[in-house]
Amino acid sequence: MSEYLVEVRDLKKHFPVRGGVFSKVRAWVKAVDGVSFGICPGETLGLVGESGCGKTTTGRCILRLLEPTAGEVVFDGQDILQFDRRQMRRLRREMQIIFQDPYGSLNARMTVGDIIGEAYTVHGIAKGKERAEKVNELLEVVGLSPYHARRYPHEFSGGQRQRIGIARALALKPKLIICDEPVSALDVSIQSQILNLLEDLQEEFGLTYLFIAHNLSVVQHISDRVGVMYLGNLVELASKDVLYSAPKHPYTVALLSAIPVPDPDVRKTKILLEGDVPSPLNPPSGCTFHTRCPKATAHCKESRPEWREVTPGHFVACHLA
Amino acid sequence: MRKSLIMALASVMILALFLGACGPEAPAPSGNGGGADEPVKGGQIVFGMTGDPVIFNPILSTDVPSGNINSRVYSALVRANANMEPIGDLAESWTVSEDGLVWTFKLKDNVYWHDGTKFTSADVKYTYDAIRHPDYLGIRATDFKPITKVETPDDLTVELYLDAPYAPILSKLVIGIIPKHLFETTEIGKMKENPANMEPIGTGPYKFVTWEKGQYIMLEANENYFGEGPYIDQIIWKFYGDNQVMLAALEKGDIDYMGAIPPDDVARITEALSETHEIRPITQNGYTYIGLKQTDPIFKDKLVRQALMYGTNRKQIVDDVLMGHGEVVNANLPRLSWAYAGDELNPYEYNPEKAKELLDEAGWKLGADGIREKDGNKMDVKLLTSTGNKILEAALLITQQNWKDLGINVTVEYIEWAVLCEQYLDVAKFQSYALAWSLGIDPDFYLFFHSDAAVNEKGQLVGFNDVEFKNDRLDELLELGRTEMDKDTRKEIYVEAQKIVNEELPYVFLYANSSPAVMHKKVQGVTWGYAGPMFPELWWIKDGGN
Amino acid sequence: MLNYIGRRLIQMIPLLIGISILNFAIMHLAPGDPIDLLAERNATAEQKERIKELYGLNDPIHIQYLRWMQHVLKGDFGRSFVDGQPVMKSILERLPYTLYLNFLIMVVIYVVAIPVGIISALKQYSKFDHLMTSMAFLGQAVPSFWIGLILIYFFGLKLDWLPISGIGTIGLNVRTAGFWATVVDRAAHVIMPVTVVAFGSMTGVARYMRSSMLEVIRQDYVRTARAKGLPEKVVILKHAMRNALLPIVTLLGAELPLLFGGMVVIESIFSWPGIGLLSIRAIFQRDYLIVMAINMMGATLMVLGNFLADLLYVVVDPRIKYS
Ligand SMILES: Nc1ncnc2c1ncn2[C@@H]1O[C@H](COP(=O)(O)OP(=O)(O)O)[C@@H](O)[C@H]1O
Ligand code: SF4
Ligand SMILES: [Mg+2]
Repeated sequence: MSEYLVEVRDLKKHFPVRGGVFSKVRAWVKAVDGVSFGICPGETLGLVGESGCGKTTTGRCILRLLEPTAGEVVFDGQDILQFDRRQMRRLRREMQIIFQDPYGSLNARMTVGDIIGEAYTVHGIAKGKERAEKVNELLEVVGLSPYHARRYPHEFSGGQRQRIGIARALALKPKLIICDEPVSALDVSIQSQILNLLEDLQEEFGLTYLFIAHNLSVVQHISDRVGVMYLGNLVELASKDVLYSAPKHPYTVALLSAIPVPDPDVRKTKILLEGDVPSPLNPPSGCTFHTRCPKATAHCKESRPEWREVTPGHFVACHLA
Repeated sequence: MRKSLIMALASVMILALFLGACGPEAPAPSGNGGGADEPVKGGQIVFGMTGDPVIFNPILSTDVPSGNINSRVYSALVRANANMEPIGDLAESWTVSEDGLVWTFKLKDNVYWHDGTKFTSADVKYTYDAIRHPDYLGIRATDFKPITKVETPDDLTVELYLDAPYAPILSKLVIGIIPKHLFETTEIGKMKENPANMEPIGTGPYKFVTWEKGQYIMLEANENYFGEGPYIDQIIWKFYGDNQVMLAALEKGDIDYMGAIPPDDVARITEALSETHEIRPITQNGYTYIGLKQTDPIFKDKLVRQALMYGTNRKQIVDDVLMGHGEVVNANLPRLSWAYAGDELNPYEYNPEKAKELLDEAGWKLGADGIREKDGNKMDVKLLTSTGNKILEAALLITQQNWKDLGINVTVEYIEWAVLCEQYLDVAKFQSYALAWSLGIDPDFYLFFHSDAAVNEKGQLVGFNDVEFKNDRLDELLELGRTEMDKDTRKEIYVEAQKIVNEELPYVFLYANSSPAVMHKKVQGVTWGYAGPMFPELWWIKDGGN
Repeated sequence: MLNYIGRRLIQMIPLLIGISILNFAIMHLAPGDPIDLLAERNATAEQKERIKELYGLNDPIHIQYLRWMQHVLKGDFGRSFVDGQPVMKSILERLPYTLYLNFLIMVVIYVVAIPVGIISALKQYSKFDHLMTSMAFLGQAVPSFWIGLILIYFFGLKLDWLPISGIGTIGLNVRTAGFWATVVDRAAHVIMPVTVVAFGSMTGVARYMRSSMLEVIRQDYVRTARAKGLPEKVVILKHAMRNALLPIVTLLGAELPLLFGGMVVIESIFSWPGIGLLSIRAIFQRDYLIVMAINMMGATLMVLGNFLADLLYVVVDPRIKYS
């Protein structure tokens, strides 16, 4: 177990839903409801699922940008959920995040140099001229120029901003970076540039990635292993090759069938999922997927399938697997 | 604010405002305890006022706060005593010629303006001529219309020439005399611009010290005052924008005097302050009424007007709205006047049955909808009044209900004062309206109900007779009352005149209020007269304020 | 930028002229006439004509307007019909008190409301936040004259902690009582009016600040700041608050005219010699020139305030540039 850089055990995050004049808590959204997985050093774990299934929440809980409701996050052998503020601040040097929205994630009133360099000052790593040099270096690493440091975020395009976001995340030389859909908001033409940059950086700095995406095609290329989430739960986790070639969970199968295939001769039956994703406010009983699962049985409605390792390294939560 | 504005504008009617001044004829002080004590100099008295004064010039000012200050800073030829009779002020004595056309006034000799200049007959002539000037911008020209010429044979003599004998003339001369030497530099049409209006120089018992706009006014004793007094060193009027706040200031002791305590607060204030303060009802020299257009198809019938008097529960208004601090009035002269007819008037006690009989008799029969009608016309009445007078509003609510019970449908419309004047009152176009009159000290009411003071051939209102009342005998009496010089005969004339008014009813007379005034007992030597506490130059502070 | 400022300033001129014409027209065409109020009630039509003549109210309205404009351009706002004093003098006598009160009110509002708004955003749904919500409701629902009277009754009369009204004790000033005694006296007088107005308007600013802050702390750049390992204080003060203050700062520009605005109710209750009572009296008496001067002052400040708000945007937000 200890070969993981970071391990998540039975992680839960429930958000309160409020209403009425005095904003009483009326219900709970089970955004993440018992997720377990680990990521090895230098590895890229892809995390896939439809929008709203809890990927971002999972990522933020790992960084403690959100306080998990329950579970453990073990980083380098320590349960970081027990860390106090000071310990947490030090830990920030080890784990970073790249946000989905390159517009909202940069403070509009700060120069690029300050955005990237602020962390140096805070952690007492460098200041003044030294800091500027480090910032310039980073800008070059992500494919920008030193003179960009004096500009404000609004002067850049989306792709350039995402590069700024990446430079910022790299600044403290972290071990783990959580990439929360880093290319979803970008033009297709730019997406691969950023993906390539991320791959290059991984190699150069020996980074570990948790790479979040909402479809399987984006992570196929970059990931070593891939996890699939549905309604706050992991439903399948396996090495990339296994998952793409021999998926065990009906949901994974359905997602895979939706990937456009480059070769038009290869025909695939596209499995259409019926109905909408149920609300995490009021998830279905039993297997939460049963309302849309083409293979569901009566049993599925009542009994929740266990998270089982069906073959070594291949985890599935389905009665039929 | 609005209330004070309405007061200010209603006082367009006030022919004289004089909360005192001084003269040897002033009756001996009969005031607060310790009458045996000798007056001492010193101390301070603080008044509360609800409006800022406008202008310290007695011939231009129209508002109550300005009048309060002017009456202390300026002196007039004559002033009124506690019983509304004229007594000398700057005038030592006066005589009237046999034919009643020439009045000769002998002036006091030792009178100086606050700046040290000697006061002479020229100042009197200047003041009166300014009022009679065609460019004069004040509201007292009518008062001086009977005067054709002012002559000053010497420095201490003034002669007024009249076009006809005019008994009320003395009551018009209560207006303050302004200093010629300061005002003659400005044209009459621009008199308002003269700086002496803001830093007044008079001959009165108190000298102007300062006016902080919206805050306070301070006067100090005039050591060279020609009469007895003044004793109190300093007078301050503090401005309060709200009556309730002024009451709090009174309770706290920030001010020593407040007039017109609102009816709702009288009981509480009496309970809280009767130990330390003198609390006296001040009967209004005036009354509140509903004017009825005499030519209106509904109101032209005397029976209808009398029905309204019987059918309006005026006693209830006095009891419930004024909380008993007032009285029902039945004609147009105040109880305070020496010509008051009193018991001889029909009291029109509330009698809705009689009112209904009168309406029936007048041919107004109850319709199916409960509204009376005659010749196919409904008894619909539109009653106008001005906004901002809570007490009048409450009184009209009762009136409206009373009249409805008689089968009259009344719509009350509240209209801003400026609009009410321009579009209804000044052009005498209305069916009925409710307002109040403040009165002068002479019983003459020619301008109110003489047919020549109504609407002329050109359709213009020339007096205050906007209801267009016409009664030949009353016309005759009002003319007689102006020329007759003998007081007893005049009283007979005005008693008969009041009886006619009481019988014929140009108005539905409602009430005169008598809100109490409160004065701290440390103030001694106060004469309580028709205008409240009078002759302030004779007041003094116990222990000189120490 | 200079270009832009110049252009904006020039654009104001026709706008203000338009406003002045409208103002003048509305006032003169509205029912009610100063002469009816100034003249004797039984003045004849001829007398009234004469009075109108003397006040210059006889000419056609456009001539009156042009004459007024001519004088205004020379800095002369004319004289009041009622007391004959120069209009500017009457306004300037009261303006300092209005400025003084409004300035303190604004300082109190912002000094109190901004932290309150921030705290209740950071502690959303806490007891403090709920209390704030209730106070906001109270502040809006309870009329200020009522609060004013209650305060006067308790603190002025019953407890005798504070003076009832006015701006200071008569005769007490630096010369007679020394500097500090004067400061204490003036402060004691201003506490209640400031409290009443600030209470009424503060809740608005606090709610505004709260929602602005709530919006900002949900932004990714605040998470970014946290992810950087900044201490929470820095995250809130530097990243979140500065951005949340943006709309508030520009609001300040727009509130410039409020600084000069009279408050009739408060001035009445606390006997404050401000511009509000002057203006309401002038309106009721149809004292045109005073009303015109006050309205034009207000309009000018409004236009300037909007312009200032736009300029402030540039200062505080690097994304905005005018050319
Ligand atoms: N702060 C929050 N308060 C309440 N509900 C939230 C909050 N953040 C996320 N959620 C809900 O939790 C669920 C998971 O959201 P998220 O983790 O953002 O999904 P994903 O990233 O997979 O699209 C969604 O239903 C979302 O509405
Ligand atoms: S447990 Fe049943 S419902 Fe759930 S995925 Fe498997 S088959 Fe479908
Ligand atoms: Mg997401």
